[in-house]
Amino acid sequence: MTKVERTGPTRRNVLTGAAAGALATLPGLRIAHSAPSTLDAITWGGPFIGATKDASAGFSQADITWDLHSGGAGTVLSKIKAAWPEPRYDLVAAWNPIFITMLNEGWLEPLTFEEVPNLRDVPDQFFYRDKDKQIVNAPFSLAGMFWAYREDTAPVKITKIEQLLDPKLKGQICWSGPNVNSNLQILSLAVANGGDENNMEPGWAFLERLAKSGNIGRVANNDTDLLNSMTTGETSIAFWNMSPFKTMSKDFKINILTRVPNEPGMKAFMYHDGWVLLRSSKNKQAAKDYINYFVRPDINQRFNELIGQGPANTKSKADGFAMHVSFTPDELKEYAYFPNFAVLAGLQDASLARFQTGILPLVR
Amino acid sequence: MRGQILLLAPVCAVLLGLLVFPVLILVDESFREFTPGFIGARPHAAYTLENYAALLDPAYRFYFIETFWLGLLTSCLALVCAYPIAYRIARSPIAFERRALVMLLVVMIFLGTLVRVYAVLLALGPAGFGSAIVAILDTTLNGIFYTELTVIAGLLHFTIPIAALALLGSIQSINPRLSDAAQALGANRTISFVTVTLPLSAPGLLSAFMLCYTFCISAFVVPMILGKGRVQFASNLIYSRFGEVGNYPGGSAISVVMLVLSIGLLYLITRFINRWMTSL
Repeated sequence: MTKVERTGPTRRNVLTGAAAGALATLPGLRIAHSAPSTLDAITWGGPFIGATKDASAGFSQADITWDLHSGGAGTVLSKIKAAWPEPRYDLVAAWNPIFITMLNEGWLEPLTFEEVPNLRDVPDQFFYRDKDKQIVNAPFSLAGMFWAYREDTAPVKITKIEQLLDPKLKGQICWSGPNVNSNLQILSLAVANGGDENNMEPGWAFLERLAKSGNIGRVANNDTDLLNSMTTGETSIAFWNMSPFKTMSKDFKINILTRVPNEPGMKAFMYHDGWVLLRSSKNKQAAKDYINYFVRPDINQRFNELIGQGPANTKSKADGFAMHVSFTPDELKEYAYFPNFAVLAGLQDASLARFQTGILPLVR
Repeated sequence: MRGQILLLAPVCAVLLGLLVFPVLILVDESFREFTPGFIGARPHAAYTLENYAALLDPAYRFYFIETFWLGLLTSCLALVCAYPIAYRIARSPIAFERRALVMLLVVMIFLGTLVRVYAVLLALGPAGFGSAIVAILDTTLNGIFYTELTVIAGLLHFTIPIAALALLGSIQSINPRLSDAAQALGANRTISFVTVTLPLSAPGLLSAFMLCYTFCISAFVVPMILGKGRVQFASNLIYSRFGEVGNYPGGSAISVVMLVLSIGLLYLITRFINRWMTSL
């Protein structure tokens, strides 16, 4: 019998090859199974995002996709509302008034010390709690908002709120938009004139005079507006948070007005930034791991060094720029103001309308 | 007939789903009560006219007037600037020149919005030519006149290429021999242009104007960045309510008013121009 030589694949070859291929992909499958999960996080732009990415570089349990707030953190609320119960984000960087609104909406996942042990080193007064008294925010930064000016371009040396009306300051003030900074800028004017969160009328009255004076050169809506305005010399005075002033201080002499004696309006209006985890997140464990990492003493210190704010973890050290809002117990009473954000959050809509109808026409 | 309906059905479905229903939802939201501290109207919020009543404040009238006025001014300036460009392209005897200029206009339209707006901001700001310009105009960099001028410059950056491309077809369709005939009968070049070419390009002018005007009155990024927070269009008011305080009902009310005013104004302008064209 003539032996027929087979050419091409045989059933045995195909089956052998398939089994070999399956074995070869098993390690890949194992790797795929243990691949890091993905987190979607949103935070502020400007100096914040660079510092956040820098501080997050050592976190390997999840890949993080970053998004930026379109101006103030409040702009994320509409995005979440529109997409709820399936918003895009797991983690949101926010601050006091935004925590309150998110609590009202019932969006926040509780955080426990067992799941996020590094939160034990954060002072209790910085936590927000839901109706079951569970912690819902992870503070990572203590900061303040205050008046500051560029010494090389400001026509006068400022030590009093009343000086903002000086005719020499024509067009020199970069005023923050009504819903940036939760209207703390108007609160500073109110406090300077005997008011507070429950009585903002002295602040509005002063702002009207300021608007009529022609000294407001720009109404800024975000850090970028402020940075562009002050670094180009368009304006030289502003009331804002620490981060852009720290950025500007690298190239310009910025006079920070937080230790001005006998001027109640020129205090540091204190607040804190932090992460919140949305209840809708599908990666809660990874998100909690990330929060625990971010609030770790060395990471928290590194992050706050980069943005010039004070660390929330008591085991971290505050760096040079953050000392502007680091006060001794005696100094706290004179130079720091702790706003009632619950009251301010309720005033935001009315403040916006009043600013647009009563102040902006005068600024023109 | 049945075939036509079948062909139109998908488009109508898309328009209904993505245009009509959202607008109806917007109208409904505009009549809802807003509770501060929450996002949007609460479920089963009561109906109210408060959101519209708030817009009766004279300040809001000013924002609408400014939006329509700056839009009108910019659109007219865009036509004045774009017509010579379109005319040059249409009448150029060199094919390469025609293609190159058209490509330049198309490329300008596709340039990134933020890049262009920030380019204008820097060019006309203190770091650019702003100081020299305000010295010539005898004004200040932070004055409202210069701010409005900057906003107009930003809008023109977008509208001139659009207007030029819209006018191109209209001018190309005019037989150049009509102008030659007018000149042969004794009209000079200016009179033949004004009495022959310009009226014949009226449909193109109307289309270009509508495109530019619609763009200008709905502009958001340009007034937001170049307006320095002091020149605000209706779109910026809408954004601040939706995006910054979560007052959807208030933002919806402004949106509805803007929609009605825009449609009404565009209808009147179109009717006026059509009547004038008919009378020619």
